[in-house]
Amino acid sequence: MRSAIFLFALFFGMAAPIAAFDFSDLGKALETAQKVQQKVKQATEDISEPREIELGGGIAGNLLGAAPLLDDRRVQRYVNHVGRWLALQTERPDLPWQFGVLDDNDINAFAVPGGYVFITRGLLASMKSEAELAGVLAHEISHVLRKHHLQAIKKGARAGLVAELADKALQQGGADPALNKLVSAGTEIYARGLDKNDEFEADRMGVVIAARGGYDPYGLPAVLQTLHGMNPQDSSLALLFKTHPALGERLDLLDNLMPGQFDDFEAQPSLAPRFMQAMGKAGNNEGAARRKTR
Amino acid sequence: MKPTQNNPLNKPPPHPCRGWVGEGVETLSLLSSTPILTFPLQGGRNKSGFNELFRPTMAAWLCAMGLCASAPGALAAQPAETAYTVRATDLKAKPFSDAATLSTLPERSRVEVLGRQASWMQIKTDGASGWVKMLSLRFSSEGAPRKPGDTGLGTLFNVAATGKSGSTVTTGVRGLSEENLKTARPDPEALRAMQNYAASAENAVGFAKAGRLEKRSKDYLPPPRKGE
Repeated sequence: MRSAIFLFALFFGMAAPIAAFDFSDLGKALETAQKVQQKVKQATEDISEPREIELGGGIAGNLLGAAPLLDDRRVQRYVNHVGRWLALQTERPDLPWQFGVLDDNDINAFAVPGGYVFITRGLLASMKSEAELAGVLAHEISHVLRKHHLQAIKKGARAGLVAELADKALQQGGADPALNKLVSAGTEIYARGLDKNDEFEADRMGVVIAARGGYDPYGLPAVLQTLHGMNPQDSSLALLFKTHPALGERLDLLDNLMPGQFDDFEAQPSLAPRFMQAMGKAGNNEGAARRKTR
Repeated sequence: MKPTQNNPLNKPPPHPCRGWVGEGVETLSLLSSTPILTFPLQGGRNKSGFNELFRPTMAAWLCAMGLCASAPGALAAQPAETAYTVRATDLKAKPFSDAATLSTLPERSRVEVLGRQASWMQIKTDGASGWVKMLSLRFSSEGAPRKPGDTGLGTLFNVAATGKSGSTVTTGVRGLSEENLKTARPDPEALRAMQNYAASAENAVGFAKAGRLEKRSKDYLPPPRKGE
């Protein structure tokens, strides 16, 4: 936006003295400046939903290149049911929400623009109930709702690139250099992390979305508490620690926020038995064996 | 509270070359077929009797959480899950705000956690037991009073920390490391598989019904005001 105003001033300042009386040139200069301004504005505000989904699909494909999907249909379907039910309680219920369990011992979860959400087997294994799973998925869903990653991508990329993506109509196949560059830039955000206020916001929203879905709203803080009790030297936590605010700080904020807010929700179920049942077959590592022979 | 030990995802690996130790180890064991090669990576530690294939830090933690059963030959005594109060906290007879207050636990009290019910944790401490607000507790040893001879979680953590070499090898190994995320190549096949697992809105509603989950309305919470 600023650069557009600057351009406008530049055009105006230069065009005026040279062709002081030629208003058609001035008009053209103005028009150009307006177009530039419009383009920049579009870039920061409108990546259409289809483009967001396309970009997200590229990033999700990359994350799946870093860690494979857990080869366990029952667990994958279960997590998708919980996630989709939660997404239905939000302002973007109709995104093509997809939830994936990554076959990785790292403890982490990721949200990708367009409605892709990942959770690692390591994180699932540290959980005790469906309400805990719901809390974590709702946190990730909140990142998608508020387009936190999309904003981080826009912030990092040069303006022209985002404009190119925003302008271009969806195309089937063929090279799309702007998309490819933004997918790469987008994937790197997962190694770097979001702004910590985005994480706090996702925590605040996550407990509410879980409560709306009928779950015990304390699932998310319970997971944070469990992870807080783990050895901070554990390498399976390294990326989570690097990319998120300190667990103690997140717990303190929820501790400030939640009392009195969820008194009417205390009796909601945590569905621990259903969770344990669904996880039943996931620990046998048949998936890992099958994957290798593929 | 040790329900995690029932989480079947925590089952011991069926074969030493696969399982909990992770992708890195899997790949290495493919290269050498001798799981012993994992030692330099994992900090070279087997004298404590933990299952050699568990990462020592994870093993110590699992034991701390009462999961020693899954690591053959590990510590026999299983300490309960220990937490510390982060402020003076009322110990209630029941998990309700208007239940009788049994006593007030001072800040940094050490408690044993038995279970959670919504915002309440059932705990045991020096002869007394009851319920405290879950968010008044932290499982981290940060809250622990530091004194020599403390045999609680802190000791285990220290053992684990010294057993770790600190080196990690990620080259050529799939996994969620920073480097791998930066150099990841797309896996379109996995993306299609993920799509196949997606649940329709209709399915999700049926699933919620089966769990007796009832939709509620609740506004998002505003950010806390500064200074709070």
